[in-house]
Amino acid sequence: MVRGLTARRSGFGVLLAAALPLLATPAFAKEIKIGFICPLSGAVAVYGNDSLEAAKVALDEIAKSKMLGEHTIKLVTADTGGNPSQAAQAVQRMIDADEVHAVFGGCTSPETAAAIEITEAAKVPLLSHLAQDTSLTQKGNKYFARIAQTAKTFSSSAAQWVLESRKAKSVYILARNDNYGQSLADAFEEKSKELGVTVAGRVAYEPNGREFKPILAKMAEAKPDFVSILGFYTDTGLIMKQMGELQIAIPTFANTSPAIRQFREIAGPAANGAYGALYYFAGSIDTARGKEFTANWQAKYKRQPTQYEGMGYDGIYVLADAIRRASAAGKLTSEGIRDALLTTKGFEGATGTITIQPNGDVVRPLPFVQLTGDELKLDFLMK
Amino acid sequence: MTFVIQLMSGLAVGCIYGLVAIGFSMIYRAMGLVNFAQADIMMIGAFLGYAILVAAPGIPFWLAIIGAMLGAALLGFVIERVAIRPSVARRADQVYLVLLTLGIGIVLSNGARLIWGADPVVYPTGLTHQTLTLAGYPLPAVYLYIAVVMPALLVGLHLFFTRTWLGLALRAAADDPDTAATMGVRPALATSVSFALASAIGAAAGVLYAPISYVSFDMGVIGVKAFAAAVVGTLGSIPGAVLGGFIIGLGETFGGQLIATEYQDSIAFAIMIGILLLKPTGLLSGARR
Repeated sequence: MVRGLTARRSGFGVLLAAALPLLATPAFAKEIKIGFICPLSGAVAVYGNDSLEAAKVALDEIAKSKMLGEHTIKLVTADTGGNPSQAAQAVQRMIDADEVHAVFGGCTSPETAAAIEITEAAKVPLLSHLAQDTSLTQKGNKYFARIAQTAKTFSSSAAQWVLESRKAKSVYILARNDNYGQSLADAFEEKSKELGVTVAGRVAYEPNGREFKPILAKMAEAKPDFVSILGFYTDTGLIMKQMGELQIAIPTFANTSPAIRQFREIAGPAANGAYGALYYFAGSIDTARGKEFTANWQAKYKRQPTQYEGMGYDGIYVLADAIRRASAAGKLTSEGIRDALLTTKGFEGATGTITIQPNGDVVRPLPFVQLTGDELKLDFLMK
Repeated sequence: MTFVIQLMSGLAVGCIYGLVAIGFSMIYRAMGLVNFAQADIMMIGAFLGYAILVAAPGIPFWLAIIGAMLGAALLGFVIERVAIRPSVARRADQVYLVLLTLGIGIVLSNGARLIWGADPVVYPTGLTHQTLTLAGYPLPAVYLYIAVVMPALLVGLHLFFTRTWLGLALRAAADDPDTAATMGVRPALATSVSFALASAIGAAAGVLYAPISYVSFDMGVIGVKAFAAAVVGTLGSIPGAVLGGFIIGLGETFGGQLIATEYQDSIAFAIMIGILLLKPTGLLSGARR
């Protein structure tokens, strides 16, 4: 099913199909519907709420700048609650009832995997700004792309950075027992071994778990030099809080969590010194575009953008850029948008330069940070 | 070290399950109804505690517990009068009543999300991150509150049900409403009071659990384990609910460690299934309630 912007709804389908190249002109200006799926409630609501807020800011800017000529983008939002089946239902409804031309999201890997099942069948492009599960781009999906590094790249780079900079000889890995956590853990373990670092233990914990002390007590007995927690901010926060309660003082890598306020609140003083790798760190991109974004955000919200806001903002711009190029090529269809998306090269985003590879994976900067007190400091930017 | 920490953590979590399970059992005993909104009332209690601590910074933690218990008691009373009683009066089937409580739970959960937002919140009190060392073992300070509040509530409930006219009236109305009515006990009021009491105890569980973890509108999911605890200890039995809470709490803690942490949740239910296979009516069936 090729999703043209006008032909489907018109009685003059054939005629309009022939006129598709003219869609870029004002006379054929249309509303382009984009689905947005992320958790807007639940334990990881912050991913979705931050992303949505930034997506709306980006859409306002796109509309004001006339980046798409007379075309406009309408966002159709749905709350997945972080639940894959809810995500799949939402995407199906967006495609069938709202007739969206592309979908943006999800925020977690499991919900994105569920959404891909639907978008691939319907031949609707899906761009995720946060999903990292390595396998998402290894199954021959033709309509999926992302602007977040794969878990393998992300975790492998993180392992190299933290273990080398800390000169660790052994590491203990705690990871969520789901695709996301396990793919991060696989890459972290593989890189650790490659670096000659002993993996003192690896535990898969219940994603909904709230009591980690038995695991932590066992971990403390292994006396690792370093701990790597690969999960969402609620579980990494609770694990670090309970490490503090057990007086376990081992340098810890807490995935993307150190940048999240709720992580710091949950973990409390135990979060001090935590290392993290972020999708994006405000102030780390010294291009004109990067500076303009943080300055505008500071002026509007009186604070710096979060990593999820940065990714939500850039994700919408990458999608809009693909729509613009598809329109210019006279192929403003779902397939045309997909083709343009997969040929995104050197896109100067607010969060860094973004290049999407033919399989849908991305090449982009990766900032590493450390939490000192309540302040997050950039340690290193991997370009 | 591992064993003692597991024991402490299992007992603390078991206390929380036990307190929520007491709520299940009290309402079941009062009107033969499984109230699946009980865990969401616990969640509301946790949020009420949060609201009190935010509104009155520096307030003693025990006052937040009492405040949340009073607020939840009022909520439970209103729920019984507005939603449960009219359905019972219309002779609604048990299945519909159980579905009604599930619906109430969803309304409470969404209501909490509207009021307090979708993001998890943390109690703004030093107790959230405070630790103490007992016999060389580091423990969260809130465990002390749990160790004091849990027995105090149990003793209080025992005295209430055995030494006060209202408590005796509630028991009479639960055991034989018709005879109790001839003695001047209003069964409908007894049910309302039971609901309020069960809600207050649920709220205490929520406020005590909050510093261990965090508060979110979906924290009612632990109600499933609390229900398992109530069933293991025999639904309707207060001592059984406490016993069931400890069995589930300790079982999942030690079981998770001995078998595999990935299956920690499954272990809790495997324990329930195992016990019910051996004793289908629960461990304290036949014992005095």
